[in-house]
Amino acid sequence: MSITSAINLFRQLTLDESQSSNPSPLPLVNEACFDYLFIEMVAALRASSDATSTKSDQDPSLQESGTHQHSELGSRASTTGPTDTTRPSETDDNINEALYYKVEQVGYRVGQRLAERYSKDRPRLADTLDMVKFVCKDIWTKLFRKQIDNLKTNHRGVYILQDNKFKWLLRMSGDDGVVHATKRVAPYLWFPCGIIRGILANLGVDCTVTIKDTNLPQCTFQIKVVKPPV
Amino acid sequence: MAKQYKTLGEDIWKNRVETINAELFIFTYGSIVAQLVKDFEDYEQVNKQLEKMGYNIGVRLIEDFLSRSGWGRCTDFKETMEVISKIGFKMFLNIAPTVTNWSTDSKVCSLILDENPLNDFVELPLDTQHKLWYSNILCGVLRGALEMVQMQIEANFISCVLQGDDISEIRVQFIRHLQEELPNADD
Repeated sequence: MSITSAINLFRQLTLDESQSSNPSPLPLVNEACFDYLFIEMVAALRASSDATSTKSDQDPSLQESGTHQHSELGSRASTTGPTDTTRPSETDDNINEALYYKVEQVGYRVGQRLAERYSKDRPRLADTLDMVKFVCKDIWTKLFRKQIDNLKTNHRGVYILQDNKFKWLLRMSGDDGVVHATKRVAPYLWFPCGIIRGILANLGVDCTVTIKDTNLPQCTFQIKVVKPPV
Repeated sequence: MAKQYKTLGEDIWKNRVETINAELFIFTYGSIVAQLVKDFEDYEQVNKQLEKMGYNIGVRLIEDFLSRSGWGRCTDFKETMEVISKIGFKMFLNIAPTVTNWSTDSKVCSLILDENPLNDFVELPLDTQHKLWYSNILCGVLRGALEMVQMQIEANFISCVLQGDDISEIRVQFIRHLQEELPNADD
């Protein structure tokens, strides 16, 4: 073997090596781990909503605000907590609001971290549409191994993201009809809403994210950009 | 014998489970812990909640474990712990903690977590020193899963690298075999 070919070979080797180690392979865990955690998360936060709503009198600032649009919900829920265990449906709603706030916050923080982790090595995202596309393509592929199925926008700050087979809903079902099932599924969807909002917030876009409709296992998210006060 | 567990564990990890990006799992867990700390403002309570979450997970996860591994009855607690480490932990978190520090009556031992994906990216505030056991969910998982196979145990963290300790160590104590309760007859 001539020296030049040896050098070439060597060069190829090192190139290959650098390609395979960078981007470094993502660490993996069993998919079931996340599924279990995802299910328990809502249950645990519901328990903690119950707990915090009973001690809210002493500490109304508990639901410290990281969000603009939900801080009102949160603090209202925490200041009107019941002290007895048999609570009327009105306080149930409050608990639900507190739960919403918490699940959404947990997702929000996850979203922020995901954005930091995955946006650092890519070119700058020029505008909001680019950022939403980043969510639909990059993030969705990282999390679900697929892209969002459909993205629509009115070019005035509203984006509709539709996933026809949302992975976290695939194994959910109910025997008492679609309406009930949809209602029970809602708390689980506040989590991805929070994730999306967290990602966009981290990229500099203030927005609200809501579920537009669900038809298990299809799911549609609506992003509304909050216009900064002029 | 020990090698057999290891081979089976690796085989299951490679061929019989779906894997996902660990970061989502890690971030989500971290975010949940942060939320619980905020809600309860008491590390004792947070530990308890995490353990409870783990317990609920454990009682479900054991089915998954048994069906995927096809593992039968273990002869003694020592074997159980080896199986948990080499097959159980391997299959779910892709780690295999070291089982060591057995008591003379073989009822208490330690799981040393040389690596722990939950700890990735995590730094705890100083005031949590030996009060918040960040990965306490694992203790609950052990308790829940073993209870489903009629073993009552107690598991506790006694040291954790996040607290500045050299190693992360879960102390596991075997308490007793639970009596198998026959379900009520249908007729």
